[in-house]
Amino acid sequence: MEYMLHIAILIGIYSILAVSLNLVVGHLGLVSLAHAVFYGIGAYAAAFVALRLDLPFPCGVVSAILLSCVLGVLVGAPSLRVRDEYFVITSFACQIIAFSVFNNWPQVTGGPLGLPGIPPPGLLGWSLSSKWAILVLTGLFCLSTLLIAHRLVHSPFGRVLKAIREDEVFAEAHGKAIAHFKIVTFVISAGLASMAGVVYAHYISFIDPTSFTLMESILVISMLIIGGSGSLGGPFLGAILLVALPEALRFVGLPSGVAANVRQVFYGILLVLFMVFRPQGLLGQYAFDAARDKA
Amino acid sequence: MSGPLLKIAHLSKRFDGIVALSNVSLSVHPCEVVGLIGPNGAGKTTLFNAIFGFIRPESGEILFRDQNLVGKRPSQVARLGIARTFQDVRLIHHLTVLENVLLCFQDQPGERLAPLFFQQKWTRTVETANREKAMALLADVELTGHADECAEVLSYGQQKLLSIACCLAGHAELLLLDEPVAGVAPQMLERILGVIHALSHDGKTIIIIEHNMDVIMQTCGRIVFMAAGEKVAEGPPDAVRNDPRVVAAYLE
Repeated sequence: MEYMLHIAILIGIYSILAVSLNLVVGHLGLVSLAHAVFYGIGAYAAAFVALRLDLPFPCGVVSAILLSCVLGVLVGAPSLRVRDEYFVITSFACQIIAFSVFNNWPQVTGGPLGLPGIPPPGLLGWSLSSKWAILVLTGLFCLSTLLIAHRLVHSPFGRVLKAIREDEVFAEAHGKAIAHFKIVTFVISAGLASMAGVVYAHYISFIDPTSFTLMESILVISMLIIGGSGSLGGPFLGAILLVALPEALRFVGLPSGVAANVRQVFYGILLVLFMVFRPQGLLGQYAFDAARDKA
Repeated sequence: MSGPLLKIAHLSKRFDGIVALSNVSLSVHPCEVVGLIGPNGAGKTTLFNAIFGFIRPESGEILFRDQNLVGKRPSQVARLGIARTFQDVRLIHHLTVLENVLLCFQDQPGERLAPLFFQQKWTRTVETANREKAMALLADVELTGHADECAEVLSYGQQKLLSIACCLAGHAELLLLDEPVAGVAPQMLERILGVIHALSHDGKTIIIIEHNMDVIMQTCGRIVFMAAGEKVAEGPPDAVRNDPRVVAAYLE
């Protein structure tokens, strides 16, 4: 039972990441390789606030979101003005830089040793130490992410995003300040991703840079590829599948040394099959395709 | 208002040494319908792109109601009250016909975060009002029956009509129509012309690029003839049509 709860919490955390990344990938049509940066920022901010500043959990949440949004502006403002193809590269660069910072700033991040002993989230005098409590908390964060994403997408704002995705020239010619919409969306996505980091840090109670690498960004993108980007249920489904399936492979009975490799191969095959046979993912509306026709 | 709505002075633009616009000057007065003609490559669309901020001219100025447009982004130009259609009709094909028009209203509260999340009632009221206005615009171009269809299923001519309706949603005073009737069936041509005449009747100022001389003669009060980036001739339709330079350019 404990194990099932653990899986459910992980699914919740990855759903927050996938739903928030979907705003950028699915709705703006931009591939960002930097999502783990904001996940990490959220985790480190929460850990720092809890361990070094000794402030209660809500302060950690707020500072994680604020810090992530500010960094979202700093990363997004210059890189979203360049052409879409280059954005992939600049977001990749951000991911590399962020990892070095996490790894090489021991005073704040603990460097490669990480930050151990992060307390469980406390709320109004309670300490949420049981897995059930954490699951409920994750569920709440997940729900708010979904609601915010839903409100954004199904609104005049979302209409502009669809227009930008399909034809920037048309949107621009009709008075939409495209760079502004891109940056706002990117920043919201960053802020939401940081919530996943907060939950992760308080739940696992230990963080180190290896949890926020490029592989993690790619894992979240894979969730969108498989679940389907552009829809609201797709990222959610992708998170469930990519968290649960590797866990299921655990029970096939392979020796542990082989199992890890088999899992990687399994991912690879799955991605290739989806790109070839179902590029829009299981529940998606758009093919996963960064290079669209933009004259 | 007595002065020109749009005043272009000494506009020049080169692309890698090729002269696209050379010292073009042109004034358009309110409620005028001006035809822009000339052979392919004469710089007509380039002139539209320059007005709209899609390209930046090297010299000259473009004044719209005494505001210089040079250096402004297309979205800023659009918000000042200029709208355009494109030669290769641009629309958002995945959105419905109605949503395409809705997209083009300016200053929607639902496009900003604070009203979207914290003033939902206001956002909804404006959206509902815009929906009604959009339906009225679709009625003007006889596309009401297609409102909930995806824009991509419309015929080419219907897409041209929809792109005009989109321009009207933004309350533009000046419309730049780039070949509004090129490539459509004769019946549709009459329909689009009807819409353009109605607009001019309503007091819109219009500049039309068009190769169909009959359309230009019927619609425009004044014609500007361009060739090789320069304004060659300008005047009432009959005079320009019989201008030896124009005749020569078209016979070449």
